[in-house]
Amino acid sequence: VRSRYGAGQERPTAPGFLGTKRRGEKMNGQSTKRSGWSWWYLLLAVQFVFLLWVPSYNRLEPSWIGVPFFYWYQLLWVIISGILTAIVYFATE
Amino acid sequence: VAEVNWTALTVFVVLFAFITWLGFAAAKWRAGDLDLLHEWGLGGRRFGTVITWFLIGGDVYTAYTFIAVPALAFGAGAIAFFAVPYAILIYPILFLVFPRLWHVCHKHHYITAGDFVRGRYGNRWLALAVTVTGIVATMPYIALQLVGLQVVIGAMGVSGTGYMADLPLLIAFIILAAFTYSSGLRAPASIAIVKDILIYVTAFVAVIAIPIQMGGFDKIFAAVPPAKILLAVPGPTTTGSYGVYATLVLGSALALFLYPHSVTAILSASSGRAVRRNGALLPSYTFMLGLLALMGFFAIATGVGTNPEYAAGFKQFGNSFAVPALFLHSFPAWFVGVAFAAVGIGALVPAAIMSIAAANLYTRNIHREFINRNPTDKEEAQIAKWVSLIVKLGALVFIVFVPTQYAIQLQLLGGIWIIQTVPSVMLGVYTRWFNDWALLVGWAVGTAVGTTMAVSVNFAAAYPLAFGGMTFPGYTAFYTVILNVVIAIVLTPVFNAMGGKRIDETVAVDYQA
Repeated sequence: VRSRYGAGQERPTAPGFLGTKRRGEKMNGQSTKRSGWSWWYLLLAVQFVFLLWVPSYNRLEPSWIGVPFFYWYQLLWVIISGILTAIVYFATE
Repeated sequence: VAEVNWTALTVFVVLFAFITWLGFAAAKWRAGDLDLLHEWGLGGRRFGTVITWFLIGGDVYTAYTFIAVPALAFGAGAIAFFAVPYAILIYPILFLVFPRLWHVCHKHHYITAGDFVRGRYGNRWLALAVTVTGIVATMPYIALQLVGLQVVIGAMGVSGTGYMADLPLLIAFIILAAFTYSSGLRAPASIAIVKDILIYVTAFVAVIAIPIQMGGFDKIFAAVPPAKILLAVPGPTTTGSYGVYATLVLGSALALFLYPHSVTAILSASSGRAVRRNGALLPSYTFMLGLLALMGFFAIATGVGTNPEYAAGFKQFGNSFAVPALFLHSFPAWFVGVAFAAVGIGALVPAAIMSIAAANLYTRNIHREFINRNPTDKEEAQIAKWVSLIVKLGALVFIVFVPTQYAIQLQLLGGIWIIQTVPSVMLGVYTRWFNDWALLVGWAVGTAVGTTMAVSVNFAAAYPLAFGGMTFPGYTAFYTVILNVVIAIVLTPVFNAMGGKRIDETVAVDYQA
C-alpha cells in the first residue's frame, strides 16, 4: 500500500547500539515479527486492580516514618509498577 | 507591594538565559533539514530511550502539575493524590498501546493522530474530529502553563501596573516562540533535560530538608486537619469519594497519551522499543510527582497560608501560591531561584511541545486536507512554524485578558473532549472492526453529553450519576467515553448494513516491530 505522505523523505533509523545487529533480526535484514499477544501482559493488569480498589488503602495505619498508609502505599506502587513493566518488557522482548 | 527578591531573580534569569541559548543551539543537535515537517515537528524521529524519557517526562509533568497538584492537596487534601495512581497507570497503557501506534506511524509517515485516523479509516471527517478535539483540548493547557510561570514570577516580587504587569510573561513568551520557531521539537527536547534535572533536585531537597526543619513527617501530618488526610468514607447509598478517586485515575490515565503533545513526544522516538522501555522507566518521574504532591501538606504544616508575609500572594493566586510560599518560607533565596526556574522552565517545555503538536495537526489534517492538497515539503513545514506562533499567541492573549478560572474550566473540558478519541485512536490501533461513521457519532454524542454534564455541575470534575437509588459520583470523562464506545458498538452494524466502502491503508504487520 502506498503511503499518503511523502515516502522516502525519512532517513532509515539508526542501527542498534554500536552498530550491532538487533535481536530478532535475520541475516537478510528482515526482522522477525513479534506476535501480537503474550500472556505476560496480564501482569500489567495487577496494578489496575490494586490501585483502583480504593477502600483497600484509604487508611492511616500502618504508617511509615510518620507518613500515613494512604500515601506511602501509593508511592510504593510506583516502584512496583516500574518493576512489573520491566519484567513484562524483558519477558516479551 | 512586595519587595523584589533579587537573589532568587538573578538565579532565575541566569538559568533562563542558559535555556534560551540551549533552545537556539538545539537546531544543530542531531541536525536535520528543518524545512521538512517531520524534522521540525518530530525531531526527525531520532530520539532514543534516554531523550524520550526526558521529552515525555518534560511533557507530562508540567509546571501546571507542579503548582496545581500540591495546591489541591493544600486546599482539598487526599483527593489530590489521585495524580499518583493516575501517573502509574498511564505507563502500562503507554507500554501496550503506543508502540503499535509508533510502528504504524513510522511505516506510513504519519505525524499526528489525525494522520493515523485518516489512513486507518479513510474518513477525513473522523480525522477532522480527532484533529479539532486535539487542538481545542491543547489550547487551554498551554494557557495554564503560563499560569505556572505567572505565579513564580509574582512570587519573586516582580510586579507592575497596567501592561507592565504582564511584561515578564511576554518576555518569556517571546523567548519560547522564537526558539520553537527556529529549532522545532529539538528545542524542548534539549531544554527538557535541564528542566527535569532542576525539578528532581528541587523535589528531593524539599522532601528531605523541609521535614527535617519541621521535626519529621509525624509533625507535618499532625498539623494537617484529619479530614484532609484521608478520603471521606462513602455513605450506604453512594460510592462517594472512592468512586470519584478511581474514575479520576482511570479516566485521566486513558486520556493522557491521546493529547497531541503526548503523541508528538511518542512519535519522535527512534523506535517502538524506546517507547516500550519508557513504559518501565518513566514511573521514576511519577515518584517525584508524589513527593511534590506532599508539598501541599508541608505548606499547611508551615502555616504559610495564614502568614501575613504571603497574604498578598494567596490573595492574587489562590491556593496555587502554596508551593511558591512554601519554598520562599523554607529555602535560602538562591535555591528559591533554582526551584522557581525549575517551575518556569517546566512551563516552557510542555508549552513548546503543545504548540508544535497543535501546529502539526493543523498543517497535516486541516490545511493539507481541506485547503492545499499538495504543498511542497518546505511550504508544509513553514505553515506549521507559523501556526505554532499563532497558537502560542492565542494562549498568551487568553491568559492576559481572560480570568484564569476560565482556562481551568476549559482544561477540565479538554480532558472530557480528548478522551472521546479513545475509540478511534486507542482501540483503532488494535481493531478496524468499528465503522468510521459510528465512531464519529459516538465521538459527537460523547463530546456533547460530556460538555453538558460538566456545565450542569458547574465545572466540577465529578458528576453525581444516579440510578437504582444509588449515587455514583465519578469523573465525567470516564462516564461519557463509556457512552461513546457503546454508541460506536451499537451503530457499527447499522452503518455497515447501509453499505459504503471499508477503507484501511494499514495492514496488521504495520503495527508490530
